[in-house]
Amino acid sequence: MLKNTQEGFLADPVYGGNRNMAGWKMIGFPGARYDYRDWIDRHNERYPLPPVGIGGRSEWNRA
Amino acid sequence: MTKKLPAKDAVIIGLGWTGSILAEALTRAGLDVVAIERGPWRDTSTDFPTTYAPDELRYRVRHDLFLRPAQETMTFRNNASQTALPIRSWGSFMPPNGVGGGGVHWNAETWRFLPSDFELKTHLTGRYGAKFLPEDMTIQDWGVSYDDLEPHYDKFEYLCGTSGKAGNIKGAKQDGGNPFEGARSRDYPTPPQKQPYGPALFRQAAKEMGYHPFPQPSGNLSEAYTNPLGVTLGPCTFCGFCEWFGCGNYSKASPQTTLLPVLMRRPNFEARTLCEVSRINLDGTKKRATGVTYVDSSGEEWEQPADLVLLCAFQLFNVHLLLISGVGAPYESEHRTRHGRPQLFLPGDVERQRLLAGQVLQSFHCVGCHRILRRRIQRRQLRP
Repeated sequence: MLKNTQEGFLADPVYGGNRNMAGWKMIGFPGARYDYRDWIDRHNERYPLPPVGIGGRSEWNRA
Repeated sequence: MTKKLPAKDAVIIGLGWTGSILAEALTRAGLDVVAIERGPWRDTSTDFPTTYAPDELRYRVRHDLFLRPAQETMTFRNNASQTALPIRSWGSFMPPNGVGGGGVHWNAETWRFLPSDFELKTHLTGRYGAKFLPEDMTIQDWGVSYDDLEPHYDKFEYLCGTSGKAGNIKGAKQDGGNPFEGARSRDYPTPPQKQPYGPALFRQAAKEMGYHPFPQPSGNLSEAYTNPLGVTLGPCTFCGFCEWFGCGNYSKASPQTTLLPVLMRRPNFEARTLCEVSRINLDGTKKRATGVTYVDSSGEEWEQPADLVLLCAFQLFNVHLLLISGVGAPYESEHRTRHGRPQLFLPGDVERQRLLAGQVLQSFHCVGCHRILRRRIQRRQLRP
C-alpha cells in the first residue's frame, strides 16, 4: 500500500496519478526532461523550468 | 522432438557485452557465429527512445529491462537451515534480460581494477604479514596480472569511448587523474564529463583536505565519439536516467551503441532472440562440448551443434547451465567462507547532508557515473 501510494504520487502522470505533477512540484523534480547540457555547470542555481511528463504538460495538450 | 540444425563454428549463449564482443572478434576472423539470447531484441529507437526512456515507474521501480520471475525464478536463503524462497523484486543484483544484457541498463562506470586487485593475496600478506588473512578466507591471486589485461582494458575503453582523465600513462603521473591507478598505455579516448555542482563541491573539499579527487571514468560520453568499428555515440545530456534505464541518446556505451550495428550487418552472424538454452551438449567423453539445445518462443526444441560453445550469460546462469549440463561439480555450501564480499563505500547520506546543507544541488540532473556523493565509488568483490 505504501509503495503504491508513493508510485501514485511520484510516477509519471501517464499512469493516472501525480495530477498536475503535484508530487514533482513538491520535491522540485523537473520530470521527464532529457537535456540539461545548458545547466550542468551553472552551479548553485535553481533550475527554472516547470516539470514535464512523458505525455508533455497539460498546458500543451489543451484543445 | 528436438530438431537438429546445421552446425556453426561458434554458438554464443547470451548476447550482452561479452557475447557481442566475442561475436565481433569471431565473425571478423571469418567464423560462422550464432548467438542465442533468452530475452527479446532491444534497440534504442524502439525500446528506450528519449520520448519515454525517462519513465521511473516502468524502468526503475518495475524493472522493465530485467529478468522476470516467469522466465527464471531465483530463490534465496540466508543459511542452509532455511527454505529458499523466490526473489520477487531484484535488489542487490540485477540480472538483465534481452539483447545488450547488463550493458543496456548499467550506469557505465568504467573502472579498471588496481594492479593489487589481481594479486590480492600476495598484496595483503606482503603488506600485513602471513597471519593477516583468517584461515577460512580463501582468496587467491587471479593468475593474470594487470599488465596482462591492460591492452584489453584499453581496447574496451576505446570501443566505448570512455570519458575520463588518466592518472598514470606508462608510469608517468598525470595531474588531475587517479594517482593510484595502474599504468595506462594512453589517455582516455574522450575528456572527462563536466561536473555537476555536488561532485564539484566534493572535489573541492577533498582537494583542500589533501586528497586526490579525479573524475570517475564514464561510459556516458562527454562528446561525440566514433569508435574503431565506425560506430558513433552522441554526447551525454545529463538527464540522469542511466542505471536501470536504457539511454535514448546513444550516449551510453552499450552493445547497441558500440558493436551491434556492425555485427548485425555481417552475413556470418545471426542472433536468435527469445530462445533459451536448456543445456550444453557433451560428447561421449563428457570432456568436450558439441553444441547446445535450446527452446524457442513457441516451445519448440532445437539442437545447435557448434565447435565452440561460449557462455556469455549473467554469471549465475552460466554456472547454473554448466551444472545442469553435467560440467563441474557444485561445491558444498558449508564450505563457503563467511567473509563474503567486502565492499567499499563512500560516506553515505548523512555526510552528504552535512556537507551540502543549504546548497541547491540539482541532484536530478547528472550522469549515472557522477553521483559521486550518492553512490559507492568502487566496489571490489573478492573471488572465493
